[in-house]
Amino acid sequence: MVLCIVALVVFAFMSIFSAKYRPLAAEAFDCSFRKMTLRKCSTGFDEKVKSIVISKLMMKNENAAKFVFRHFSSISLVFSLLFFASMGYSLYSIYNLMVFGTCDPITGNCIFTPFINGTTVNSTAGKPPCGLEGFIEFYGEECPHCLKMKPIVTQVETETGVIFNKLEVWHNQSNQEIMLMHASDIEKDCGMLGVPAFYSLKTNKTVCGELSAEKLKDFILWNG
Amino acid sequence: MGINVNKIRKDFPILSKTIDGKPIVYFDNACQTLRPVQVLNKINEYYNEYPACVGRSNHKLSEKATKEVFEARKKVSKFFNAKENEIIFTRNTTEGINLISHAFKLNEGESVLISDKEHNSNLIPWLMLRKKRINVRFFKFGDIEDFESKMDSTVKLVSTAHVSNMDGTSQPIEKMVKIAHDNKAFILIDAAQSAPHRQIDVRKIGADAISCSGHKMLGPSGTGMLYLSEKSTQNMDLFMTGGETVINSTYDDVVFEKMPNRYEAGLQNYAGIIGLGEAVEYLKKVGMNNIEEHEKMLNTIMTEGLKDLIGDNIQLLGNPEPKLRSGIFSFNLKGMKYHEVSLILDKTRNIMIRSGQHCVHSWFNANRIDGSARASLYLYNTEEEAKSFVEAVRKLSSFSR
Repeated sequence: MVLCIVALVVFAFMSIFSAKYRPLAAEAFDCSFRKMTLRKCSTGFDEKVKSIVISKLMMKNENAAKFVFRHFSSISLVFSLLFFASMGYSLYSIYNLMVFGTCDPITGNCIFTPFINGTTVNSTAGKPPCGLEGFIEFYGEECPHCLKMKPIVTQVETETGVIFNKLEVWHNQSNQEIMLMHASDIEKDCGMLGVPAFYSLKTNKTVCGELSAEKLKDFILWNG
Repeated sequence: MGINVNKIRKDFPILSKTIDGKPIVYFDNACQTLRPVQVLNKINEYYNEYPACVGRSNHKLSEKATKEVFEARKKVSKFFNAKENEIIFTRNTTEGINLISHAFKLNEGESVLISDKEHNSNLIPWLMLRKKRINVRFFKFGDIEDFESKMDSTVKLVSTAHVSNMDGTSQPIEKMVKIAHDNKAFILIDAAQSAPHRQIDVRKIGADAISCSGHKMLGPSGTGMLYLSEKSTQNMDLFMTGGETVINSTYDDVVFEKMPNRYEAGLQNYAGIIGLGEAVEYLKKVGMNNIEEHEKMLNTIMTEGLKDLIGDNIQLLGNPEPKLRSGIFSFNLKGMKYHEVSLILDKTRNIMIRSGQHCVHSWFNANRIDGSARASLYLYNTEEEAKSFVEAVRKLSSFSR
């Protein structure tokens, strides 16, 4: 039954793009429905799929064909489980992409996130961190300068409406990696890689250290 | 005298073609055969040279078409040793059987006797008669004693296959005709699987009616013929009526044609009929006895080549003796479904066979067998093809070990 369901999903998807897969999708649907209602698959669809696989293998390697034929149920079960797992992950990623703007908000390893506000960001220091847009504040948990900046950042955020993506980099390795991706930009503007650093993802400009609210607002104004 | 297969194969254009770089091994002849170029040319000749109505118009094209259809009927009747007015052209065996089932006059309470291994074509038309309270009774295929025991005064019609399309086994048809006639019953033979493969002499067989298909004997698809003995028409009504079946009509009355026109209603498949005439001519030249021997020889190669596996990994349907199975090798492989067998043979080697229940659902259901894979042979099949089939099936049988 799993084979029919997998085939149904695959052929249904393929038939969106090509009419030649539509009869197969219809056959797979009929087969799945019959199996789900505890009846025999009347079209011989499962046998057809199995025969195609075995025939192709036979022409390449007979022993492999024999092995697959004998263990076809187990192999198709494994592939089906893998298929459903990958389907699950895909759905989860689509959800993340819609909600967080990145399919992988934890590591940022997502091929769809170069798109910010619908356009690709040109970064001189490699790819921007996934899902982030606008400004980043790189800070360290115990960094005294960062602590001093905390009320100023809150004030600026309230007054400008711009919220910094706050990435802790002393303990969080993922955030460190994000900062390292922009290291050259930051070093260019600040002379070193330190915290606090306020970084614009739009212009790749940075201001560092303890700053006044006015200076930070200026930075937002020119780099937002 | 054997047949020159290589020479014959040159007449079949499709056999010189390849699919995916491999030659075609056509083993689905029980379903439909390939056609020689002579038949193809004859069909084209009708459309190119005299594509007109037969027996109706007075112009030159019509005259030529009428002559050609007349010639075709002559060829077919000679082929079966029948009279020309005893040959009715139909679309297929099924139509011939339906003609009899509709036209033969049966009364409530009377019986029709058929075998337990009939093609749906020779089962369903009779089952439909149950609505008219006509009994349908069954005897075991090939069992002459059972046949005789089922014969009683209520049996007015017997209809049975000469050769089973499912496993190729045949019935002692002449004996059965005698038994039926001794009991004053009309007997119809389904010769779909015998007429293309052995000599059928209607006089020798003595049956009242014999139905067969043209497309199973090198003829165009959708052609068939029904032999209806001249003396057996007394108890026959009409089947389809209309154009060509009447001599004259008024608003109240009609005078019907004689045989065979009274059963050939409407415009016929003239190209098909002419092509069919050419097909039987071709078969006659090769010789039906030669064809029968050739098929038996190939079936022996197949059966002998797989002998050690039969009963073990291979379940053979029908008589184990290949010479008693005509040109049919019907089988199942242990651990592999029949559709898988046919699909794999087709995809890997272009060996084209049939799989399923071969329209004999009733027998498969009664015997609790799901179906079978069936290779069926004909005059253009070669020893090499039979050997490659053996090799391929041996390989597949090793899959389930």
